[in-house]
Amino acid sequence: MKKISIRKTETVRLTSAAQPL
Amino acid sequence: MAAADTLHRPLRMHHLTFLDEGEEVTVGRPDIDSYIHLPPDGAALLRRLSQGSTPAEVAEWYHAEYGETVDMADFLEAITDLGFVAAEGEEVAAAPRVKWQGLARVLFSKPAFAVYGLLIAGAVAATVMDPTLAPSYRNSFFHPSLLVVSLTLFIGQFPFLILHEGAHALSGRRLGLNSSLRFSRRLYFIVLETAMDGLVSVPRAKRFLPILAGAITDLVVTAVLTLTAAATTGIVRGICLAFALTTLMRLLWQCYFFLRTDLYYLVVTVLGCTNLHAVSRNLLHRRLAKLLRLKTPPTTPGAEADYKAARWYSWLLVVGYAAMLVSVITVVIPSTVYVVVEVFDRIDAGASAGMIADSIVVAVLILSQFVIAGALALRERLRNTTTLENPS
Repeated sequence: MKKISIRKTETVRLTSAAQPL
Repeated sequence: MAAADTLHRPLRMHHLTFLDEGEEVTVGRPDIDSYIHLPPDGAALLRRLSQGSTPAEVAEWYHAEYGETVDMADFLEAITDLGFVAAEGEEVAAAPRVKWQGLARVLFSKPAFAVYGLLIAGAVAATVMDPTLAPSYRNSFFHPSLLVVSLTLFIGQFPFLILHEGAHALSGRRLGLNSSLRFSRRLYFIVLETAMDGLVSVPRAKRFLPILAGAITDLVVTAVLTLTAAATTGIVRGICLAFALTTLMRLLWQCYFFLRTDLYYLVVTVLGCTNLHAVSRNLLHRRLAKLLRLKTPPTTPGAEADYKAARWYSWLLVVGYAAMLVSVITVVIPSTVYVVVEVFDRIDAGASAGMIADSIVVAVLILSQFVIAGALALRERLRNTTTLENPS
């Protein structure tokens, strides 16, 4: 019996770093 | 096993999107940002189910088309877990509405880009004519009081961070993609991040602008600040140059692309990867297990492009994290200790209240980064533990 392979997609997180001094 | 009556009546499916990418099809439910990669035959199954065919009819079609019997019960269980099937009494989700699309189209139109180009060219020309406008660490110190400098730069950065993330979000909305904004961390860096998982559901050529929108905004902001500095004097000029410098620094931070910055998503989009970071980490684990003669973990699923790129990206991960570790040991920890000692030294030496306040503010700003990063890491760990205990 054929099983269908399912793969979750990679998350997309677009960032910008907060910086102290 | 699926109940027999389930197989003979149409499923109530939520609104799904399908993107055919050749060897795989990306399918997802945009209103909850749940997306998967399916082989073309699996996507054809799902498409027929969402068009109203019963699972039994679709299984019959599959057998006629591919000459194999599909495990329909397993497939139905998987798509139900993913939230693609509406439960009894649950309202069927339609295509989500996306706000601000009109504004997004204007801000990312060709005339708008012409204006951005002129601003950047103008800032470069002004800097060539007046080299004191060029980025320099001295620009940070626009005021003799370190207290004023620290607080201005720390508090003043947030509107620019929101502009950067807002640009990502708006350029996504231009394509009909929703997104959410939150605080997170990369290693010990605190970041604002825009979650836009739906980006995988639009054709690859259309993904570049949402990924690059933040960096483009940083460049335009730097240009506007530089031009304002060129036209002003005194404290206004000083503050503009200080923020132009910190905006450029944030842009350079994107080069840490092993921390999955915007540049990472740009690289994986160019290469056609779908799971590069996880595949590369898995490759490192398997290499290490082989070296230590331990049980080799199973291979993380990915596309052909992932396995190809993982050959070099996995080493970049090692070098990147090693460099970070060295910088933590040789720079971050000594600097942090130095600042804390400095505070106590000033108190001991009977320094003026201003001097002590000055040191305390800087110390708090430096230490707060690590405290917040630690708290976020703890929150992630707790969330992961909860998810493992309640996998529903």
